[in-house]
Amino acid sequence: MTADLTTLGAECGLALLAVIGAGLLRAWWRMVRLLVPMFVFLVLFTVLALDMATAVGGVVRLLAISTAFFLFFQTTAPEDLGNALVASGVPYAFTFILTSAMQFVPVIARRAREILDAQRARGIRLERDAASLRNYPALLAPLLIQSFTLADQLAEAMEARGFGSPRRTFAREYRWRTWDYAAVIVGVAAAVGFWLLQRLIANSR
Amino acid sequence: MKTLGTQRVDTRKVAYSVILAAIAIALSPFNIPIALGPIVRPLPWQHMVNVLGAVLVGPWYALAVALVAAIVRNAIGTGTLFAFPGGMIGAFLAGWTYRLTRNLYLAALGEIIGTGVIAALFSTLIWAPTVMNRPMAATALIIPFSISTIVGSVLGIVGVLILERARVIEPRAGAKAV
Amino acid sequence: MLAGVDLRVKAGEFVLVAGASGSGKSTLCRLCNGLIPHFYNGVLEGTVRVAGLDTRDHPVHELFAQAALVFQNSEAQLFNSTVERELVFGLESLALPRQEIQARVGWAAEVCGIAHLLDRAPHTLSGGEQQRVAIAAMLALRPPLLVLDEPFANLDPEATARVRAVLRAIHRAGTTIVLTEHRLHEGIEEATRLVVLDQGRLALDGEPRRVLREDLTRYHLNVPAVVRFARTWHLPEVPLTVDEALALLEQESTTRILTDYSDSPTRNPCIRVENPRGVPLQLRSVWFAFENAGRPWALRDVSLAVQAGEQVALVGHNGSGKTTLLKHFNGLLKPGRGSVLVLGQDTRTAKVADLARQVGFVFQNPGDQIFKLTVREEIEVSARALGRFDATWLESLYESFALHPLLERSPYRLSEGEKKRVAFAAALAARPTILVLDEPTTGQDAAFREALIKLLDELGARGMTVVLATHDLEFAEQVAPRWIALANGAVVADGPPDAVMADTEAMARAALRPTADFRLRHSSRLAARLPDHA
Ligand SMILES: Nc1ncnc2c1ncn2[C@@H]1O[C@H](COP(=O)(O)OP(=O)(O)OP(=O)(O)O)[C@@H](O)[C@H]1O
Ligand SMILES: Nc1ncnc2c1ncn2[C@@H]1O[C@H](COP(=O)(O)OP(=O)(O)OP(=O)(O)O)[C@@H](O)[C@H]1O
Ligand SMILES: [Mg+2]
Ligand SMILES: [Mg+2]
Repeated sequence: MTADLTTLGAECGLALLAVIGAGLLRAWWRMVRLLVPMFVFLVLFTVLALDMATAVGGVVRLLAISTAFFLFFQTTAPEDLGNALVASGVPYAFTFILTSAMQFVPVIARRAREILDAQRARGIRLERDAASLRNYPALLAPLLIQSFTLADQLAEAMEARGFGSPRRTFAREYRWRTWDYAAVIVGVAAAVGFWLLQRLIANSR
Repeated sequence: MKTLGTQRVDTRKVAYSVILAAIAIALSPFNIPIALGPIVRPLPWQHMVNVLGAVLVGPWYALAVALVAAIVRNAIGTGTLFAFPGGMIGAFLAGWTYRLTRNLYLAALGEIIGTGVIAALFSTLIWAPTVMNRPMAATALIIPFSISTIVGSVLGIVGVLILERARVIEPRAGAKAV
Repeated sequence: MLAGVDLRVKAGEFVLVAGASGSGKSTLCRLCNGLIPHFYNGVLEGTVRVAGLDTRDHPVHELFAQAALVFQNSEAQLFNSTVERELVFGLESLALPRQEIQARVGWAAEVCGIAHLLDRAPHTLSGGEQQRVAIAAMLALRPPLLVLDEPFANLDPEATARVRAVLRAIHRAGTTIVLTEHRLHEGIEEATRLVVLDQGRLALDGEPRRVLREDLTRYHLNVPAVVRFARTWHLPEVPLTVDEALALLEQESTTRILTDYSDSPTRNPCIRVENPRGVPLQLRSVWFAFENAGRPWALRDVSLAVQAGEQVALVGHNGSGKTTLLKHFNGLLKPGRGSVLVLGQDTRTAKVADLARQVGFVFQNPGDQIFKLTVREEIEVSARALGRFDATWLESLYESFALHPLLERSPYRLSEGEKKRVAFAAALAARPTILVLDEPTTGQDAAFREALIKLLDELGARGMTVVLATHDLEFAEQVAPRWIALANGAVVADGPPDAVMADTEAMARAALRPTADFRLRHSSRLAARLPDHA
């Protein structure tokens, strides 16, 4: 079991070094805080069902996987990811939804803030506490109605700009560049390295 | 809106999907204050959007919305890798349930089972494959996932009823017009 | 929506389509590019031909470059990551080669004056800039016909003037334009033809000067000030601009001296009702900045007092801080420095719910508040939430807002005007002593403005203190005997409308143009003819 723990620890350490190197430590910590509920339930159940070692091993593995994902998403622009997915067969509509949704996030957030102000100005209690929960329709109804009225107007604007046209040409295409090859090689090397390390420790006993 | 071209594109569904994803992302920083202690703060918005998406845009677009929301939430730091299974499975199952049964409440049930059970088990698989042979441990994530999806599904049902009452969307066949 | 409309628009025309809310303007626009019948299901009789193509036989994506359509809400029209991508999107739909796309993007951006914004994200731009981007995106398609559905509705006067200048340039370059608008003064100068719609019928159609002779109030249209001026002075022709009106006055041989230029809308200051609980609003050197770091000051050293029964209008350019200042009056925003006292209560210690008992707030968009099942419940929300339910007061509100027929209806399916009236009643339900209004007239037609002017007079007579923010200076001139002009968060003028409009330096800083009425009343040529006008 210790073999797993040391290799997992090494993987986690390497990933953490990359995070610090990229100066993303604060964002990484915020992400880890989001994982807290998962950790608590995982450790609780595993200790009951198995033993403490597996639980700790699980937490470190989860941390390593999450950090790897975290690094990937913090360094890859969503648009590029969307275009890459479309280039590998996903329908064009997907990247359109991805890029346009990102444009409307601040619009929807501003609408939600305005609605919150408007309802609080009428004496409706909408604070961040359990008592406000029964007033949620006062936020939800205006927000959903306006969001989908906006969606209808967006649909018209897309049609009026020829969204339905089958002859759409693409502005960008994606080719492998040296950086892409280098990244893949480093990744494979690291994986093989950790695999050997784990085998080495397991056999040495 | 069907076009003659190869790709059958439905502009209204694409526009609705854009706004659904934007809602899921815009609300993701706000968790709901009903807490089991400070530990579990349910994050229902993705599940609310899944139920809305199931009714408004169907399974494939709802799946796209969940994937888009998960990608962007991870990019801006309001989501973890669990956002992928947590959102996509529920969206797809709710979408298919609605397409087959045309029933809002069954669609919400599809979302709850999709996220609370299937996504929870799948996520545990990512965490510790060895644990799967112990049923007890395998169910670790069912509780946190279920709380979020149940609250989210209720909000989703309320949302659909509101949109119908406001005539923003056509009432579902068979639903009594308010 | 439309009944028996026959309309032929020839190349090179600039048609202004006017009509009250619900008269069919938007429906007409959606016929041009095939959105009706392809995107909206409904009954369509008769034919619509655009550049020779029958819109029934061609889907929208074959018509969109023939009749390019720009919508009212710029926020919903921009869906790309940068302004340049916004312009490229439509051209990609035409499958044009790369360098042709680049050439057209550059040209359209130049004509619309947004070349410096090409790599900005559209949703970080001002309303006026967004609308110019939407127009450029359509112009890049080089359409023979450009249709705009109330493009100025959400813009302030300065942004409107810039968009109108762009439309004039596009029209001169040969593009035919159809513009719908219910504020006539925003289009009659450049229009070659004026069409008036009334409940879906084509009521008037002809050369603007001839149509403006008709009695337009029958169609609930707001008669432009220059036309009213021409009638008051019995000028031979109908002028379209202030200068033209004064020039006509010059030629007028008879030197009839009108004793009283009755048309000036100055109001007698309303009677003051002493409010026992102290001064309604008292601000002492208030500074405010939004907390996300790096934000400049949204309010700079604002000090002012509003007495009981006063009716005050906040005026100023987009982003001058009007809404930010209004939100300080009920504690939604707290001052960074300085203090705000509402009836003696310091807003930094009072909660919004407490202040809501005294301050009724009507927001710009009534849709932000509506969530109940019936209009009656919607209005009673604040009265119940604040424990100030008073059936007789509510009855008087239903009376003065003519809401009885609507009470049991669903508030979602009302017209914009009806929703605004519900929002007004809702803000007054808890019997506040101060009424705060943010842009009360945006998106409303002339009929609503008249009703609102009458209502504010009534409330003023009852001693209600009113503070409103508006871009609509014509409206502010009629309802507010005191104006406070803001520029970049600072108060640059505070006094009666005529004094503020005469202060050219303050008006320039607040990017405001004096109203046509003011310019007519205070132009030097006119003064020569009038006795000393108090
Ligand atoms: N999507 C729709 N479904 C049903 N009725 C509609 C729809 N849109 C408009 N109408 C109705 O058609 C009539 C004309 O509406 P239209 O929007 O064309 O008027 P308008 O002049 O543009 O009004 P406004 O100035 O408020 O924009 C109105 O009575 C309106 O209620
Ligand atoms: N929630 C917010 N967060 C950050 N900045 C804001 C926010 N609201 C307003 N601002 C900024 O504060 C300034 C004042 O905005 P405000 O809305 O008060 O102006 P306004 O006079 O009401 O404009 P308009 O005429 O467009 O309504 C603007 O520069 C605006 O960009
Ligand atoms: Mg309209
Ligand atoms: Mg404002």
